[in-house]
Amino acid sequence: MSNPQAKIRKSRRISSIWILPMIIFIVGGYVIYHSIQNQGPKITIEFSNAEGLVAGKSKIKARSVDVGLVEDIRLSADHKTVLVSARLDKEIEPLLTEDAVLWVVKPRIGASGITGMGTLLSGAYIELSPGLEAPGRRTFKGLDGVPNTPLETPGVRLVIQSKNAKSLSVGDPATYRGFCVGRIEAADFSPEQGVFEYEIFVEAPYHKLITTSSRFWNASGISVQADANGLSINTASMETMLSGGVAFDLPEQSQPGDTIENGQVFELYPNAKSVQDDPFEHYISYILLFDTSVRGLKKGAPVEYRGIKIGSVTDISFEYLPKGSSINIDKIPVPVQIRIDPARLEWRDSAEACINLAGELSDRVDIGMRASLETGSLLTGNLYISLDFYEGTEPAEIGTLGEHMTFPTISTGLAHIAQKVVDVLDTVQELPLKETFESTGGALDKASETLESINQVAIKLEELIAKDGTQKLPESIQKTLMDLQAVLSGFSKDSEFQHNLENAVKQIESTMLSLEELTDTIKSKPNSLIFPGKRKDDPKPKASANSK
Amino acid sequence: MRLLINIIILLGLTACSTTIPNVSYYKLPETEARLDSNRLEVTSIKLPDYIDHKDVVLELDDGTLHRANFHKWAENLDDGIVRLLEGSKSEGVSTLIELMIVQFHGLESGRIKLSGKWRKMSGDKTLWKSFDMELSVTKSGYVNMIEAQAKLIEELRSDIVSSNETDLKS
Repeated sequence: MSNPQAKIRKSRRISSIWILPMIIFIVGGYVIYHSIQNQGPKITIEFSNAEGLVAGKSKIKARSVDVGLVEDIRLSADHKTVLVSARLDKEIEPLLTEDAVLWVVKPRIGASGITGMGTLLSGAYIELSPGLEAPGRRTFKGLDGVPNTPLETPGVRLVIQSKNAKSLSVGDPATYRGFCVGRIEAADFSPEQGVFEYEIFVEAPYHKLITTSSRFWNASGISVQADANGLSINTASMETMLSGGVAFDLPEQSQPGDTIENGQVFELYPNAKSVQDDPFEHYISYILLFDTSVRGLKKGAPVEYRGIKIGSVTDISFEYLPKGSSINIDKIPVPVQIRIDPARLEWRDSAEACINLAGELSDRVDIGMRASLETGSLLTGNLYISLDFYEGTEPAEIGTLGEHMTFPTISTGLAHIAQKVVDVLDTVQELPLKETFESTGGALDKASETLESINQVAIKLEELIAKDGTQKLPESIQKTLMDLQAVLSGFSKDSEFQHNLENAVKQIESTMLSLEELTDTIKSKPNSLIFPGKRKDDPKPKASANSK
Repeated sequence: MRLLINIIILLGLTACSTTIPNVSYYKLPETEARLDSNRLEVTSIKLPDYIDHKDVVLELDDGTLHRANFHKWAENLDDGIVRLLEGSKSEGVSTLIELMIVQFHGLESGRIKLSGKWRKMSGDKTLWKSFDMELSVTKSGYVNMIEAQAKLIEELRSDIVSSNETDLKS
């Protein structure tokens, strides 16, 4: 018997068992595609260290809103920095601009205060501050510290330069007339120029206060100065006095200049006074040669024309005298260099104004204008330079001393005083003395009348004193004093008040002692409040054995 | 049944009750009419902590101090001492004294201890003197002990008054 053979036929149809895997494959593929499609950008941030950051836990935030998560933290190839990889939300992509800034937010204590306290519980996170430029950047260099002002904050960033780093540091305030309008955001030293550079951010709308004519000075601490004007003490706001800072303003007699743009460079003056001394860019320089002592004349001393400042002393030195000159050694003059600012004379602060003013001054010298040393303050003995017209002076003109121009001077010492005395005597001689004596007689008569009036006033005063009301005045004062004494005696050592006070203190002491005993009792027997127990009878004092 | 419960409650309440002896209060008695015309004025008095309260203190034979539970001072002890020393306010110039008491208590064995220091001031002169006095109690009991304490204070007063004026140092 032969067994029946099964017919095997190749099926062209796909077995239904594959339907389920295929559905899973399609759905899975779609999920993966959708996931990739909606995945946000991945960025890499380079930090100097990863203190406080944890992969898979630390967040990226923009204005305190979660926008991403740190995925990986690893060392850079040279092991000198840390590379933090983070995945951001897709909609955040426009914020990743070329000038975007990232930094780690963690608790910090600095000159500008305590920041990041919230991260004590939540942990450190990375803050993203978007910029204004085009998006598309993927690698960033994270900041070590918190930038003081977000980049998009309206205002102006400018640079001030100083030859020393005197008490200025990042975070110090920038003030305008004592009001804080900005902060120092960065401090750096420029080796090429040999100056310290401070980047200052001034918030809008206060940035409009700054023009090309503005001057910046160090507002730290208190400045005490003794000069020709006497003693002066300058302080800024309490904040700048304690923490330092810069201040800015327009110099006196100065008009606002042109508006400034980001990056404008200004010079940092050492203090407010130096700004007022030499605020202008253009000036004429002269050498004054004095035959007398210039002790008391200092750099910065004012040059005045009839009491109005028109410049300042810039230097006092023999170096202006030409070497090997034939000047008699007994009469070596002292050279003093001054500057005269055209802008102080309502001229423009320009080179052209300097040339015109020099011509004007030359004309004035021809008709008697001279420079002289004057005493500014009897208290400090400081001197200043005065330009004025003097009659009867010997003819002089603007000269030269080496490459410098000289301005003629005049002595106001003893010779000048002697001339003044002669002038006074001449004036006295011309006085109409006779008429004066006659009128003096009339004046004496007037004086007698005045004395009579005074006598009458004295009589009236005596009457006033004799009145009952005036007499009773001391009595009422005495009564008031007695009342006061009575009140004070109420608080004296023997007073009832004092006695009551002592008793009250004694009672409090007694109560405290009782409480102490109660505490001791409760300690030794905690249930004594509920079960006090029976107190033993007191032992009885006996009669003394000697008395029996 | 109800009767039984009431009896049990009554027994319980009576079991909790205790007989509390009466508390006796004392003040230092003025012993006799004073004949001298000298007048003292106590400007300052300082008591040691162990007697600066309302309990009468008794030193037991074993040396321990006992604060009596049922024998109390009716006034502050320092007020009582000042009262005895100053006596009735009489006319005349008074001598100012400062008093610092180191111990002042009765002994179970029938004696009273009083020691300390006083300072007497007269004009711009002053005298410091220490004292250490004892007195036997003739009869037993707290009343007699308190009387003996008052007597000792009177003796102290006499000592202060009779102290030689020449001892005063400027």
